[in-house]
Amino acid sequence: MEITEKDKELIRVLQDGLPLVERPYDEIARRAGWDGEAAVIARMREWKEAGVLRRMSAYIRHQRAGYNSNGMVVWDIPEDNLEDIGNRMTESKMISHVYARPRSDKFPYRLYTMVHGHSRDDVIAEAERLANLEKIEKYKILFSKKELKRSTTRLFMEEKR
Amino acid sequence: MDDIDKKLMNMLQEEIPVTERPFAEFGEKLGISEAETLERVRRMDEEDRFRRIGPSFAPRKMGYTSTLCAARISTENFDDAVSFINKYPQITHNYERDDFFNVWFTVIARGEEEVERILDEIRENTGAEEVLNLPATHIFKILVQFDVEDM
Repeated sequence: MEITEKDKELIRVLQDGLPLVERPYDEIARRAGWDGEAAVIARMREWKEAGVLRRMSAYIRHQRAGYNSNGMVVWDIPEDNLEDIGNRMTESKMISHVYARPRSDKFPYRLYTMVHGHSRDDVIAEAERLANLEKIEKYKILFSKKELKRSTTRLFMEEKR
Repeated sequence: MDDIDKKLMNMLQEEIPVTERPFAEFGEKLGISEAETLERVRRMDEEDRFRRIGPSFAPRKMGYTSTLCAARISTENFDDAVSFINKYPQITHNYERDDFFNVWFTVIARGEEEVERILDEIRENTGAEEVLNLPATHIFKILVQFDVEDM
């Protein structure tokens, strides 16, 4: 899908945040210099169809909600089982990300899952549950020790007029 | 936060519809008015409960390359090395983790060459013993939703 200059302006405005008003996309259209709410909604639906826009949503301050533990759990899985296991792992409510990545000699794991819990024990328990369920013998939990940087991804900012 | 706030917060994390009146739609599901829905969302926003409310784009579908990298950085120059890595705007997240590879960061750049250039600069300037480049071969799930109903 081609991302036009007009699209980029809309993307930049959306990345500033959704206005908390009755007709947010009407306000977005105004800010982005688009021809009204209907045009913005239509284009955003096209982006969704193309997988360019995953979704509009809220991201909460999860530590305030008691989610204090985050573990990247990596799994050594035979290639033949990767798709089935990867798909099933998506069902866990404690898992936000499921990615397959290349197996490296220095880090021989194929499936990466981000597991969030109220405590380290919760994360460990979920990893054990999945390991038993999927009969995976080799896996590792890399707990986050310190958040060194977290910035909101902002696309097309380098082109801003 | 009462039960309706918590349900609303879970729903907002799952998806905000791309429609004329998304908050009216949430209200209908919750059995409250659009005005009350907005009042609740605005209050929670004022209470600083949200990191952000906005879009999640797929960079790879928009001409960007994205990847996860892992580095092994010794304790001696850890802080300097991390500062060097963090200064790249293309590096959006960076975490210290408890393992042989102790620094894990994401890179979103305009192409493979740009990623490799950045990693080479990191290798040269941080004394990182190893830097792995681990781009996703398949993405099964991206949904950041923290269940708050048991808060």
